[in-house]
Amino acid sequence: MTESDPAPPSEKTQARLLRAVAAVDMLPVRGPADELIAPMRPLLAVLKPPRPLTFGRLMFQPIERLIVDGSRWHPGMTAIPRTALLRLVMLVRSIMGARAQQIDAMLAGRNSTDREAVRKVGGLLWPAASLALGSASVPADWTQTTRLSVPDFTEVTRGLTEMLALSDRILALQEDVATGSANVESRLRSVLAGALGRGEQAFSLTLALLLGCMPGDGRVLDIGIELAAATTDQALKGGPNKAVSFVFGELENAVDTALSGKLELGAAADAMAAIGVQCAGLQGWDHREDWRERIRRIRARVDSACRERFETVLERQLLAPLTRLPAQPGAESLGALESIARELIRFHQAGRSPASARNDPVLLQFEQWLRTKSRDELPLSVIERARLIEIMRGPEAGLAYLKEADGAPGDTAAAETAQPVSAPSRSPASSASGNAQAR
Amino acid sequence: MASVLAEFSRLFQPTTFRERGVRLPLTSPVLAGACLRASARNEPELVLPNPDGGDGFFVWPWRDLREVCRVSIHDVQLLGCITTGSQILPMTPILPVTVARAAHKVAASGIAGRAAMDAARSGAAVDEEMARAATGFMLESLARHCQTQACPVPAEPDGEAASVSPLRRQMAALYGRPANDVVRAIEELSVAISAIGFGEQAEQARVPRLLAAVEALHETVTARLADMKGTRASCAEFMSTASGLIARGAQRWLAEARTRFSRPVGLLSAYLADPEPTTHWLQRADWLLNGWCGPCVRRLAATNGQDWMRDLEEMVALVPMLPREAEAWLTPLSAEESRIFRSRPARLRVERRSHGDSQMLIAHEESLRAASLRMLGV
Repeated sequence: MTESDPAPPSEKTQARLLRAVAAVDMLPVRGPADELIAPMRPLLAVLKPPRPLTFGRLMFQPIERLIVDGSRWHPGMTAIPRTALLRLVMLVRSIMGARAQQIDAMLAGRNSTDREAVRKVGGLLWPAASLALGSASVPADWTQTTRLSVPDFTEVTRGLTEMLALSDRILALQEDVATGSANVESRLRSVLAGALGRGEQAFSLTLALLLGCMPGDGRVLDIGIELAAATTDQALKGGPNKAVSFVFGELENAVDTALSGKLELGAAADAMAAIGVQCAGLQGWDHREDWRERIRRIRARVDSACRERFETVLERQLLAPLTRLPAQPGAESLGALESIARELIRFHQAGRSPASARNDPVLLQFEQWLRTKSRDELPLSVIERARLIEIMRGPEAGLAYLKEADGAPGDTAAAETAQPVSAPSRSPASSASGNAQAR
Repeated sequence: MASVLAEFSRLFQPTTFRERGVRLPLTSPVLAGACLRASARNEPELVLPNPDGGDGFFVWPWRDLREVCRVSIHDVQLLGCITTGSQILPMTPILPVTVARAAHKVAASGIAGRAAMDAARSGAAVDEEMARAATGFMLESLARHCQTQACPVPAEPDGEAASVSPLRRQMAALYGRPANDVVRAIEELSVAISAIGFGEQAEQARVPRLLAAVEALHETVTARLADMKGTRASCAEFMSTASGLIARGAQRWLAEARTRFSRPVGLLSAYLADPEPTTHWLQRADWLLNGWCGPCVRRLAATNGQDWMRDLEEMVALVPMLPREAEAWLTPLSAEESRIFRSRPARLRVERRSHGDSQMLIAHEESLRAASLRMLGV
């Protein structure tokens, strides 16, 4: 009954998304097909659909939250560019030789939700991949295949080498979090201390990863700041700021994607619900004024962009079709409009507190509009209007409208259907009684 | 919180069906699996299985429920048909038949959507036709009885405002009761009979349709038992055993009720002497099947076999609890069947009730409600 919990993605959205991902996963060479699912990546991170557990997917599974589109990556960023992944997998495979094929064989038929396989095979792969990358030199086709410069290779592989070495511990921590284990805090401290010992890049990458994995758990940032403050290394001291900046950037990017219009309303609502969880987790990040300011900006952006899209869709997809309804609207058209209203209100509420969402003046105006339109202007019965008010404003508003409409003179719809439903008579029908009387 | 009367233990097992309550076809996700019963002071209260996701049952007075959770307009209207808010309406005792009729009426108003409205309106016609036919059958049987027994026609009593028909006078004399009491008894019995079915259209009635759906569910689940593994296997075994048991019991009591109704003169006599035992016999199949439309409609409304098996855990969680009085109705019971009274391998997931957007979940419940009205008439 916690109203702030995220809404699960709509079944239609999930089904479509999973079909698209499965189709792309089946391709021997993905290439441009990858771009098809690119806008859905924030949602994929929420849904975590089962996908074939390949060498490459396993290699990056514990740190997938740190992967960003190549166009967004820049040197110094606490992230791994997506364009480098395939080339790095090929590089690691070539260095590992026959051991890579052994891992392939162990992964045959497994999928990404198979925790046992991830833990067991990952335990073999990650340290080996870390060693391989640590000793690798720049491939000749690096720039051509990744669109990154040669110096970027060092930057990317240095961070990745450290993260792969920490991957089994990060995975164990993620499992502790998922199962609600009492060990979380001690393991969290151990992982962050281990990352700190591996240098500034490992520390900020690990902290960024954990901040994303554990939204709302204030211990991650608190322990990170505490460990950084205890060092004398200025670069390490800047780790928390870099990590937090990365999380802010990811959140801003997710907001832009969700509100760009590329996603249909249901998918956008799913994405906004996930963003809402992240935003709620930012509440305790008040350590620095510039962080507080950025959080304010993100929230304002979410709010204004949500409102803008909500009002546009309300106008175009609900109000306009309602005014064009025929005198006797069919069940199908009414059902379709109710579905739009449900998607719309889900989008409206995503990422906001339910109380503020319900009292939005736009919703109040919509209710007023439904209440005051005559039957000629809006050919909906009182019950049909009450249902729309219930969807958009909640059952209390719908019931209040029904009560008022019950007393409204001259409304034929009210006379037909809006009477509070009375108790069923004990006798089956008056005509049956009449039948008995007639004898 | 004052509204929480009691939390039962996980082993809560009511003694009677009335103590368990009648399963309500509600659309509010938070009220999934709720049963309505009358408290000792005749106040309506809902028995909710594990509302917080844990074990146990909560009992909530209906008048307080809307203070703690959001209840759909449909559910408020349905409860408004049966209660005044704080008291059960005297003319609507909490029985499967009265709840089903109230639910039909509310769905027919359109508040659960157009699809449910259309299905309820066509179903109500069948129900009323069945009741009319039952009334006619009882009156004809009485007339035939009076004729064959050469019952005298008493003189018209003095002082009556309107003329009283000879049959009414004969009925009054036959049962030693005022004619109006006899007519009311016929009408009340007709309501019960309309649920179990009568005449050529008997299988179109609510109870036999639901029984057929439970039988089909039993056959389908049993046929697929061998394919199941893990939790799903234990759910499938539970569902197979429970549906088989309920179908067997409901068949028996449906046949018994119809046999009793085939002798309406004696049935009416017993009812007039004491209505309670008679209605209890007539309603045993209805009580046993009460609440089974939830699991059945999930199978019927699915577009392919795979979909509904995915919901097996939820279907098992929605199987209504059997009170101890059912043991006597269902004898002989195997050891496995006896266990069904005490435990089940799944419970409603908490996210089923409270996570996500309530309007999306209400829309899902409404679509199941429409399917239930269309396919099962309930």
